[in-house]
Amino acid sequence: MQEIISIQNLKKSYNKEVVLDVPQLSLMAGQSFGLVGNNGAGKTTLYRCILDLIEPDEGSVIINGVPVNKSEEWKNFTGSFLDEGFLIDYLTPDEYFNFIGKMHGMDKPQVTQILDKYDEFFKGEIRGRKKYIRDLSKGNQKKVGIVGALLGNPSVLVLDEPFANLDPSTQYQLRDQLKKLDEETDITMLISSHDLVHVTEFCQRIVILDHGTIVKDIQTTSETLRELEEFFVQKVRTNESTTEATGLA
Amino acid sequence: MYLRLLGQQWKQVVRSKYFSQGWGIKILVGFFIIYFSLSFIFLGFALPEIIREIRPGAQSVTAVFSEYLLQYLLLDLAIRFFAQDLNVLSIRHYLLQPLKKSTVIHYLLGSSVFNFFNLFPLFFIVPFAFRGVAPELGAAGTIFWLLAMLGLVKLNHFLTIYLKRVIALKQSVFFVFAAVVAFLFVGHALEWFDLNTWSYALFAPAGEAWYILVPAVLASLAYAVNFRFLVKQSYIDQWTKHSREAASREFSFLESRGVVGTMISNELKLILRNKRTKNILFITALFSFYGLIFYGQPEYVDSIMIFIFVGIFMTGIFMINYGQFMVGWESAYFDGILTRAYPMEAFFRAKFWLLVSSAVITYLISMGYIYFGMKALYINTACFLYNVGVNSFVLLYASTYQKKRIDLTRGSAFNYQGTSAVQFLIILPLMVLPILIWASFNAFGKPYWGLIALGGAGLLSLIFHKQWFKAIIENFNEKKYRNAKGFREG
Repeated sequence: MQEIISIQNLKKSYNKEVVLDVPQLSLMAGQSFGLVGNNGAGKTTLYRCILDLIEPDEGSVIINGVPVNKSEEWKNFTGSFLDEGFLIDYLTPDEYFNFIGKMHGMDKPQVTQILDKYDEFFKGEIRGRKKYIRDLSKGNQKKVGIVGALLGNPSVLVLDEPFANLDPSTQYQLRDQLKKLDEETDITMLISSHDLVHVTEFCQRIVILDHGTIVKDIQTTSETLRELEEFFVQKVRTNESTTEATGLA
Repeated sequence: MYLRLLGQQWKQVVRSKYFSQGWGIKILVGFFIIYFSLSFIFLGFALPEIIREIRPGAQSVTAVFSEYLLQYLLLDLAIRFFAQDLNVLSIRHYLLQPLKKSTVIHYLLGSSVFNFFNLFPLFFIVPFAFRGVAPELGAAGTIFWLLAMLGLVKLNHFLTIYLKRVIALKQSVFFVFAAVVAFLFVGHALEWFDLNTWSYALFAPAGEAWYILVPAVLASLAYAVNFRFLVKQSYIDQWTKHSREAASREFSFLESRGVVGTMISNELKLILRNKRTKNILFITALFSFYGLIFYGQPEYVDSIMIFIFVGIFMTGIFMINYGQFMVGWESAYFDGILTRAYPMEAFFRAKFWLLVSSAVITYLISMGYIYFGMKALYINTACFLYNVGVNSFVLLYASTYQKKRIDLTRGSAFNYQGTSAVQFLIILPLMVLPILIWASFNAFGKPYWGLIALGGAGLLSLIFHKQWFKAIIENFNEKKYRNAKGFREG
């Protein structure tokens, strides 16, 4: 397998508090990668560093051999959706998709052809409705963002909490879509989630981030889910025992 | 209870992002407030003399004052309408608390009275009462008169907040309101009817004891209407915005012109679909009349300098108003811009063409001033070329320093959001430099050569467009992390 993303000695701190400290992490092409961790563990910060949205204090992120802050080449094959800050909210979803398509050199029929594949996912609530993105529900905005990220047929896909805010059936649909994508193409997916079941379902490798550092790095097996649950339950237990010990409970 | 609500509202104001902007802006706003307060107080003191000067034969200054009161109140209403903020203590937060709904609403309405727009009129009414009214009506009469005025100020206040709330739900009311006010003023100016006679009939008895009841009853009625409206609005389903159908307007001509065209078309949609940018269009339309203040005035006929200033402003009003925040308009989805395969040159070229096209339109409008002589054409053409060639790039470059998020849904009257020192600094190249260029020729007695130099500077600068774009993109890339962080913080 070929290495597609390589992270070297990445460090970021705010007000002297270290929020990210990853000495080395390398992701293989075609292998889907799950990132889990509690709130504030540094998942979004890591993603923002990978996407060149924040400048790390030290170290670098290299996609396909080129540091992300040196060349913008990676943008042509990387699709991403972290939050609504990626959506042009005064456009209608159709206008948005066509615009994104155009940036990737696609014309309207080509865009329509790709979008047709997601009609079931959209449940008829996205396309052809005269509504601006800003007037859509959170869940529907998320759908627009995720499909927007997939439009350019990216070989790297970065999604932050794609399952949050989606209703249960859409969550399963999205999971199946991503799974299918993973099986049919050699796309490299980076998915963060609070939902351990979803990530273990289709990620071949799972990393737990805690206080900015990688504490576990596992290849998914049938045991993985139990192992992950163990870790997070353990975290609560140790917290409880320390608070008891210090008499702060 | 009211005190606790007041405390929370205070926190809401002090902790808002809007309040925590730089000291420069706070000092500037503070300066304006002091300036206007002093001006109003001075006006109040001088008003009796002013009235005697314009109406030498008048028996009573109070009577003359009441003749103009209606016009003043209408104007006050119109200004309040654009500039006065609704105080928004969200009722929603308190609906599920063990609090009476009416308590919250009474508080909301009661506290709204503490507002600059209620204070400023008093600044000139009170001094005028002492110097103009007191000698004519005596102590008791003056107190009654003051109370009546106070009632009228309150009436205007409650009318404004009611209208603003209604219009937030139903925009058509705005046009009715604007049409009525405009009709009254136009009718008066064209002498179809006389507002002063009406005004005198309405307000002359102010100063008599019974008259206090009139504004008091009217203001209370306005209060009651507000109260009823808010009670009705306090059900959650009333808030779900009746999101209007999206405009399906396509700029297909632009869309077929490659990525740059599509970006321009997107930006046009941005302008037309957001409140703050729509306000800029409105201001642009108003400013096409700006020149009327100067053209046709005999004292300015020989001055070219003042008309260069006017010309830069008129042919570039949209460019300046919109262009200074060029990158900031897209702050809401800036992360998206940075991670997409946006070709940066196309990104800025689209913005450049948008500014240039706007300048062409404002230039064409300014052609109307040829009515005042061909000089207007020469000056405006030179200014237009300078705007297109120099100011457009200056604005684009300055906008890459923007790091404060702009909320497009807020109106722009008294909205300093996004403003920083950069906005004041760019006035130098924008306004002062062209005047200096012209003046350096004028000093040798060649004012028209100065105009040619001004237009020439614009054309010359256009030749270097490649270098300018490169410098702009370099600066953009250098500042992007800082800007993205600022935009995310909201």
